[in-house]
Parts: sequence; structure tokens; C-alpha cells
Amino acid sequence: MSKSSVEKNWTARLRRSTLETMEPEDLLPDNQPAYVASWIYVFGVLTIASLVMLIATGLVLTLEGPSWWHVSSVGHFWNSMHLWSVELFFVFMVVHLWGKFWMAAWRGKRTATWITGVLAFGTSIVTALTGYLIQTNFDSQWIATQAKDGFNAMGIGAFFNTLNTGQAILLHVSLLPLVVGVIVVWHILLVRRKGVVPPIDNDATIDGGVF
Amino acid sequence: MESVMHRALNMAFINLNHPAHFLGFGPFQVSVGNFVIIAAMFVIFLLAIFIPFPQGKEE
Repeated sequence: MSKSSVEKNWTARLRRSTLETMEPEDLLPDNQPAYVASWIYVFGVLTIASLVMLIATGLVLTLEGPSWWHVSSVGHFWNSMHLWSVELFFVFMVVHLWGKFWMAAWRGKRTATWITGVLAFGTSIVTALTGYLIQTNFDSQWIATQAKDGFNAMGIGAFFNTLNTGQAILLHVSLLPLVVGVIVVWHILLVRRKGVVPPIDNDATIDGGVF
Repeated sequence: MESVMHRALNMAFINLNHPAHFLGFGPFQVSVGNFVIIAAMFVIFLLAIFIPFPQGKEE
């Protein structure tokens, strides 16, 4: 194949641009800067681990539906696993957020990394809300009636009706996990590409260059 | 007959089978459960900063 025909090939162009922006050594590094040896740097990956558990337990729950946990001890077990995964997910994500805020982790052209983290946090909250709405108990009824007034006041009640359990289920098991997943993968790729932000008193390495 | 869920609730370390307790600080109100979670996050954050990380083998 001649060079010009390769240039016209979109898969070849995509491969080349991907390799130029995402080098394999950056995507799967085998060492990290010395300052990463701190527990505060662990909470990002703990959040990801919780998200994996959330998706795995959520997949099990989709097999039997949102009322399963009322009538089955097995369903109750998986529902509880899903609940505690989301508790840990948010605890780890908030500690990760505090750590990154106080080290001003948007420094060194890492604005997009920070913004995708904010988007992941926001969409996770909406996903959690739809999860509360499909518990099929008095708690979910109370949350639905209270949130309805809030969404109506914001002017989006016509698009998102918290009293519509079917809409909440579909948002929770299909659309929102996909959105959260895409944003989280994007966030991780940006972290790998730019490198972990150095401490504030170590700005010589701020652009993610030589560590 | 007592359901499996009721037995599990009775066996729980803390009895959760009642309405939530709330704390009030003027206009600010928070359930005890949420307050404990927030306090735990602060504690975890401080521990993560101050507890030394185990050092790997130097290259």
C-alpha cells in the first residue's frame, strides 16, 4: 500500500494520532514520581475500584429487577453490596476531590482533567438520585415527591419526572452508567497523559515532563 | 413467620428499624447517619495526609 493511500485511511490516521497523544509508556507506566508515595494519591484508584464493584453488582441486580431485594435474601445481599459500593464510591471520590482541590491539581495544563472530574462527580450524583428513586419503598416515594418539586422549580420537570419509576430505572441502568463510564475513562486517560500533578512546592516538574 | 429481612434487621449491630435521628444546628439539619459519614470522610482525609506511605525498594 502506498503512503498516500495510507494517509487516506482513517484507521491509520486514528492509530497514528492515538499513539502520538497516548504513548503506551504513559498509559501503563511501571513507575511513578517519588511524591506519589502518599496515601492521598490512593483515593482515585479506590474510587475506580468502587465503580467496578458498583457496575458488577448492578449487572446482577438487573437480572431480577428493583423489587428483588424485598422477597429474596440473595437479592437483599446483592442490593446491600450495591448500596455499600456506592457509599464507598462517594466517600473515596470526595476524599479524592479534597486532596486534588488542596493541591490545586488543575496546574500544569491539567484543566481538562479537573473539569472531567467535576463532570464525573455531577453525573454520579444524578445517577445516585435515580438509584434512590428505584428502591421501590417508602424512602423512594418520599425522595420522588420531594425531588419532583425541585426539578419543576428548575424548569426541567417535563423532561425528567421523578414520579416516573420506569424512566428512573432506564436512566439508572442504561444511559447514566454509560455517561459516567465514558467520563471516567476520559478522566483516567487525561491523568495518564498529563501525569500526576506534583506538589505545589515542586513546580519545576509541573508540565508533566521529566520526573 | 418472621421474614428473612426482619431477622437480619434484628441481628444488625445497630437497630436501623426506626425513623432516622436528626441533629440540628440552627437552620442546618443533618441526620446522624449522614453526619457520621461526613465525619468519617474528614478523619480518612487527615489520616491519608499524615500516615506515612510504605516505601518500596529503592532503585
